Amino acid sequence: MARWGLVVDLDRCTGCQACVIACKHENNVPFSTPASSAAGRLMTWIQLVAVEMPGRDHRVPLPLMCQQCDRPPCTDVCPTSATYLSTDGIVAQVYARCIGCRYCTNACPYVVKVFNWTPPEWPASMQGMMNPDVSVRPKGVVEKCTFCHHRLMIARERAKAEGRELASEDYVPACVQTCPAEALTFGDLDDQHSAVAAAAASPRAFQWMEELGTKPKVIYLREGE
Amino acid sequence: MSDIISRRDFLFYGGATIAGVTLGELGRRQLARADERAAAWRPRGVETWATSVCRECAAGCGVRARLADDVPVKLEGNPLCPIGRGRLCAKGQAALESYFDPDRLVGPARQAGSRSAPRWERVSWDAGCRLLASQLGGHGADVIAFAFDEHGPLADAWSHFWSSLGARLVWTHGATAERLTPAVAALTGAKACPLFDLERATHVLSFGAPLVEDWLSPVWTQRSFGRFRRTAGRPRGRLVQVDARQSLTARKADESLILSAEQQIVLAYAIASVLLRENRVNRTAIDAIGGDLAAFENAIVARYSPDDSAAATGVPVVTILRMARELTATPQPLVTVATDAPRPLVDATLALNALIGAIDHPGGLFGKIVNGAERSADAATVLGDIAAGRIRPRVVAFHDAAALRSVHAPPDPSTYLASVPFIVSFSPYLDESCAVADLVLPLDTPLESWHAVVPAPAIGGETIALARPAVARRLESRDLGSILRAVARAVGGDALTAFPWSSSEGIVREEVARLQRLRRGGLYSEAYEMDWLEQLERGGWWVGDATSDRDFITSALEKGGWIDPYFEPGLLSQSAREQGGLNFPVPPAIHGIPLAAARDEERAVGTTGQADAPPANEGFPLRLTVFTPAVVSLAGNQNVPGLFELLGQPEGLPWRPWVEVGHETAARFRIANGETVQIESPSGRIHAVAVLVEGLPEGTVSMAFVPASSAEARWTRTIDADVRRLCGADGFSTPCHVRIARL
Repeated sequence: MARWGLVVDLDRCTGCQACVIACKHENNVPFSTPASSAAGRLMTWIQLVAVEMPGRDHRVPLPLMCQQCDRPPCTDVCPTSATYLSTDGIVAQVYARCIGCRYCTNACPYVVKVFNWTPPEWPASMQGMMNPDVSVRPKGVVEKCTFCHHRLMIARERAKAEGRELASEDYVPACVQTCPAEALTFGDLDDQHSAVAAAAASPRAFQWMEELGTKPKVIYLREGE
Repeated sequence: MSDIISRRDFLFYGGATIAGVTLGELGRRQLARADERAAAWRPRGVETWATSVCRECAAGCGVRARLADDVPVKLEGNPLCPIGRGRLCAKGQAALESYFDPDRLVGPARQAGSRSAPRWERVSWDAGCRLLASQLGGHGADVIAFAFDEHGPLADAWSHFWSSLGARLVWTHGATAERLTPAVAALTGAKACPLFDLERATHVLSFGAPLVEDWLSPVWTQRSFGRFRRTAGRPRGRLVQVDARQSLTARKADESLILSAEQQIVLAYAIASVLLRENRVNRTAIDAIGGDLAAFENAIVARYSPDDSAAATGVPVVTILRMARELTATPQPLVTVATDAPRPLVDATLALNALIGAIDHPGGLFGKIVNGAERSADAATVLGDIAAGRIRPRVVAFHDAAALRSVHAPPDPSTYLASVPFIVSFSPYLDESCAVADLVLPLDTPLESWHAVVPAPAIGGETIALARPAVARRLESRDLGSILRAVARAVGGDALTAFPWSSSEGIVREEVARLQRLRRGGLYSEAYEMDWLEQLERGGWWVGDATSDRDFITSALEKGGWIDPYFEPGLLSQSAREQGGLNFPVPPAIHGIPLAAARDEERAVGTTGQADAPPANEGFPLRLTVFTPAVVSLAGNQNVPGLFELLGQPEGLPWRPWVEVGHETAARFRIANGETVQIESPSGRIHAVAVLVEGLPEGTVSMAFVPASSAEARWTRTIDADVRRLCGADGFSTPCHVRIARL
């Protein structure tokens, strides 16, 4: 079984946010309003945040999404197993099981799980643009980045229909697919021949808040030499 | 879905046409938003993909639309497109939201009331086109047609139509390399667009070029930037950014300097001076081209001593020396510049490229001839002339809202277009052009359109993006070709002769047929196939793409375009040789550069004291720098919630324009990060959220330009802090002075 991981090369990343909008459209993440944004209820699964980095004079933009931890703090506290570590290594979120207790949002040190405080709304004309592969989450449910898990399921089905094994390149999340600067590398971290494994082994590699021991499978490559 | 909408709209507008919509702005909203009532959600299943072309800027990136039961649900980059190679920027993806925009115009309509008390009536397409024809008949010389500056057969058709009437064509320039063409011509004699080989550069000195934001062809630039930074087997590219503010590019740079545009001119010439003083120029390269380097050297060394330059810019002498030496200590240096930079700065940066041997050198600067008539008119200037009464057109036509977003006047076009008797808008969106129009004839949105577009110059060779409509029309819009044909038929005479096409489809098919007859180049394909094609052409071979005309047309429209990748470097050098060598600019004297304005405000805030002139802006001590965030659409639909959410990031300020304040200035005015402040100039005042940034000099603030609109589109109208309210008639090009206060 593959162990899916994502490497973000901050030296290549331009902070263009193409990944943010790709994620939004792919996963039917509802739009905010000026008022809901001002209230801190912007719904995004991936967001650009400004962070301080050693050796940098200025805060640099860093794309932050669910870190897909190997030891996820969020799953330990979920009373209904709505969020759990799947065999693919992806931290899954089963919306139908979620009771909205928000224990997981509090337990997540990266603050990347978002709660639906209101029912998701789109103008009627925009409901046509929903991705039919992804369910819309109702009010009272927590949601987050799933590495576009539905794409993995579709890729598996396609590979099975074609009578072959799933190849690493069959499955790419929407953010990786669109990144204009080619800053995102995705694949099986356990495949030593994969580009993502090679990138993760770079001396520039680090994990966000790695001192917490959550063992994220999102790995960043710092800027500079 | 479109059938359902059409039926219900028919019933709704049947009533509306008879009764007229008499409720002013509410009427306009009703006109634009009625389609919501008919929208319906239904499950979908069958997945297909369709090719299209992104038209959110002039880059012309290839797009693939994922359709679920023929309804678009996602846009991706076209992997065969040589510009993006399957990648797409945020604005490109947001085009999906424009297609579904709930405020899109549902069909043609005329203003039955007045612009101040609008009363819209739906009209048939036939009646709308005849109404426009009646206004145009015999008044060709008094007509001005505005459009966003694009090239290709469809833009040519627009030009043919208006030119045949004797109308004046005005273009709104995008941030493309074409803006730099006059400076390239002055240096080398070649009327060519510069191509910056960012991908292969090893060291980039950038004067305000927003490399990671919105420069030239954004997706191509970002892909090149990623490869410039990290490519296996090559040293990491180093970036030094000289900018007017702490831009995202400055934050991504290895080193950044914050200088005004005037100071940047001094710094550029100071670096050139050091290169010449220390004999670090690439004399081999310059000798191969020729040019009067000695005269340039004499002028520049005398005028730009490191000490004087350091005093004028505040950049230490050692830094100027180091910046010059770094440029020559790397194999493939490149100097870049913003497309809207003042001409002296563009001249200085191009001269620097010549001195370091970057012209026609890998990782440097190349030239590319762009076909088509020269388009020198500028929309903002012409609109300013209309506002001032210097020209009095009888009819004004807006292809899109780009012209009105480029204008420097405060954002209420109805005031400065009040003297124009008749205005027609072809925009499909409820935007600025629609808000001032007497007649709206909405075009199809890009996903619904035929495309034949020449992408903005970024790569070598010759490229044209082609596509048929990716989706069916959602509303009662029309394609440009059929609208202009109907108007031409009603006008008759030269207009009809000059416009023989019956629709945009005819224009695109004719173009594809022309490309097939060229017997060179090929259809969009994988990168290695294009490389192979170029190698073949270099050896004098050519292999056709399809066996029949029909196959060729089908393949061209499915693959997304045609390219002749053959590119012969050396145009700039050859042209310069033919004119007798490089024609280096005459550097202005440091004291001839208007640094006085900067010094005035420094005196006002008490940092330096050159008390030889009175304060220029009494009571307004801060110099305002304006920038346009990359996610702001200056050409396409602005009513896009996905892009408004990206505004103000990564500072956590979605949906709002913001003002950047340095820590010293903030301390002086007791402004905290995230606080709403009032910014006031002699021209007006606005409110915005303050963001404290590092590196911004005291006495300077910078503000995001997000155009406000008098149209009633639901998301656009949430923006009211339009920085144009603060600037004078000269807009962003001249320094604007403001004061800032907590609310």
